[in-house]
Amino acid sequence: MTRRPSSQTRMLLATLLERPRAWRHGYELTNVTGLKSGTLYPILMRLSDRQLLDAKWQPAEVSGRPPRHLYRLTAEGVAYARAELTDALPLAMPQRSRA
Amino acid sequence: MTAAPRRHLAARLMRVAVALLPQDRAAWGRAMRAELDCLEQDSEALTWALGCVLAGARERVSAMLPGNLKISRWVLCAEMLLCFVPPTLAWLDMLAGTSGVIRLSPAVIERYFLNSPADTLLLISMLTGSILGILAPLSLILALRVIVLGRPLRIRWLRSAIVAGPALAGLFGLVCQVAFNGVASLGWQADNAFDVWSGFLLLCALPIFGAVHLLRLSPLQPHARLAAST
Repeated sequence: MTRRPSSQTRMLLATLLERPRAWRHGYELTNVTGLKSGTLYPILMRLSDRQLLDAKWQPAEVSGRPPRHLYRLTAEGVAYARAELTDALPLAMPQRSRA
Repeated sequence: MTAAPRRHLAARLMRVAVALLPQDRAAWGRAMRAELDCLEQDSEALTWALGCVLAGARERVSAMLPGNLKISRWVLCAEMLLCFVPPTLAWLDMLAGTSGVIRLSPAVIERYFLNSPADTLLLISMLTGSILGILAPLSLILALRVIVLGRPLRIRWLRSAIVAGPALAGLFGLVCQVAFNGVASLGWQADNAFDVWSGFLLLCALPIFGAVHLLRLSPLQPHARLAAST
């Protein structure tokens, strides 16, 4: 039996679902959701393992910096997020300044 | 702490985080490190790196739990040898050593073990140890079977026995120690290289640790990792 996603996972899904076609990087997601990197990345890994999350590398805009990893929901991920968030209680999402 | 050391510490922590991640998560380590390089504030970078260490540790633990032996088999093999070889050798000595159980004859028993209750208790402890001790080589064989063949241990009573056996032996050993030599003998003896606690560590604590770890890596039911962990 598949367990219901945690409140942090639902918060992340809701954020990604706001603009499902936009690619977001990890730091932006921590800012929007208020999740710390230690919580965010394990969730991203699980979602990616389940083919719910797309990831790609973006070449660095500043020379000398490494490429960044970007994320967005797959079509399956969008459907999953909609299904999971439909019955969910409204999420109290902290709004922080974006990077 | 000034800015430069914070950034330096963050970079070091990030290296720890990347090292903690299992090999199949290496790309995620690069992703987390790339974000660190984009953070302008040093305090923010430090917080980010600490979080990444936590994420790395979580993934490391998670990789070891599902029972697919993602922990290096060589490391596990070394751990199991460390946990089960000392009690196996002790059992062999107790069984077939110079004063081993199989060398006991009625005459020897009557001469050395029936003179006082303490002597009789010693005989009982030797016999009990030689019976319980068989779990040590058995655990070693089962561990190597899990490591080499990847076959989990499914016999429930045996799963319980390899944990309960050394626990009982340790408890019994401590009781005997107190009975023979008094409570004072449980104190730390700096001048004795193999005191009671060394024996307890090698013959009880380590085998229990090894057995519990082996059972965690060899669950009865397959672990639905993705479903359970998201």
